[in-house]
Amino acid sequence: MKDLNKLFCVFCVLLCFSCKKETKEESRNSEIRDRYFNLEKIGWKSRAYTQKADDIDFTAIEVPIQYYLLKDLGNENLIPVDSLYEQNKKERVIEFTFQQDEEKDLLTNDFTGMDYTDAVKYMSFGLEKDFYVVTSKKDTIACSGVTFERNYKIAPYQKVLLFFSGIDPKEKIQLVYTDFLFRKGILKFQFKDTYTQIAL
Amino acid sequence: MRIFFVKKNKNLLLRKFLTSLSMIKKPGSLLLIINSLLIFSLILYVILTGISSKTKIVFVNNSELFDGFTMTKELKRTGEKEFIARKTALDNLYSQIQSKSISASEKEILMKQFIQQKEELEQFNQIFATTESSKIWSRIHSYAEDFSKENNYQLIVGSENKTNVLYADEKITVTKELLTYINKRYEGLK
Repeated sequence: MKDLNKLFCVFCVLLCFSCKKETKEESRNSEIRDRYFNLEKIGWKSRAYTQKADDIDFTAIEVPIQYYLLKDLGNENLIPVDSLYEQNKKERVIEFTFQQDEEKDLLTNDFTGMDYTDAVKYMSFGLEKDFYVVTSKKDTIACSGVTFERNYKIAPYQKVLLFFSGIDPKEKIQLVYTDFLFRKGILKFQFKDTYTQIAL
Repeated sequence: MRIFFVKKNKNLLLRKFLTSLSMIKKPGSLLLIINSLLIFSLILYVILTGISSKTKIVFVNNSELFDGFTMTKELKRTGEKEFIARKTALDNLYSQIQSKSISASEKEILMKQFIQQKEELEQFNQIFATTESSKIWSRIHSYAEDFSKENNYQLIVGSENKTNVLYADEKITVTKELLTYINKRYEGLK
């Protein structure tokens, strides 16, 4: 009987040690994975808003910066990805595309009124000053940079990436574009929701 | 007691159902019912198609629409800024010409400059008004197209202070609705 009791005690001790407690790191990783899964399911480029002026479509897409971080670092270890996001969460990236109805090249003289090379130069270096963002607190934030993605007439649109800094991630923004290139006036894009949780 | 009432009700319903069946079984009354149903559906169809095919024409006050559009207000503000800046420069030049401290040759040079700048200002005034107006109207047209599609309007008549349109009933005037719509679209809210 005594032996049986001893055996039972040893069994209990072993049972206690066998149930390993989940580490903090693991729980954080699963929380981040869950958050990023939600973002992925919403669609990285789902927040697209289009304004049409004459025959040109101007589309602004707010892309979460996690998209670029995951593209660069991969999704195997999400902790460094998330820490990088935390450091840069006040940055906003907006994809802006210009597309003509009949898929004509918009940088030609017919649309811009300038030489093709000058139009490319303007898209690369001069477009920055034409954009600004108005936050829900009515703060005006100038565009901090533009990257023109040249497609050498392969794609039927012209795409630029716009960068803005110092915007709270929870704030709703309105992008304002004063079009000096195609001379279509002022175009505004109101981004409605900052984040939508998916009910699982 | 309750069971008795339920049973009694059931019997009554059954009897009513049987009598209605016996009526339908009579070929004359069945045909009458079918005929009346067909006539009723035909009348309904004619009425509905009549309503849907009715041309929807609405009226809009052009000047009210143009002045109330946010894009007009914003472009007007930027134009005024530019105009004031140019006019201040011109006034400065004029006061320089008027001063007695400058020589005749300098005065002549400044006068030429003044005439050139004055012409530029007049040109700016004319060009700015026409180009910006055309931009605004083209935007109003594109938004109005979507507005008419959303509301199933087939024709929107626009007139300034009812000069071309002699009479438009208040019921078909949609200036305010269109103005709210175009302002929302302009702000990117729709």
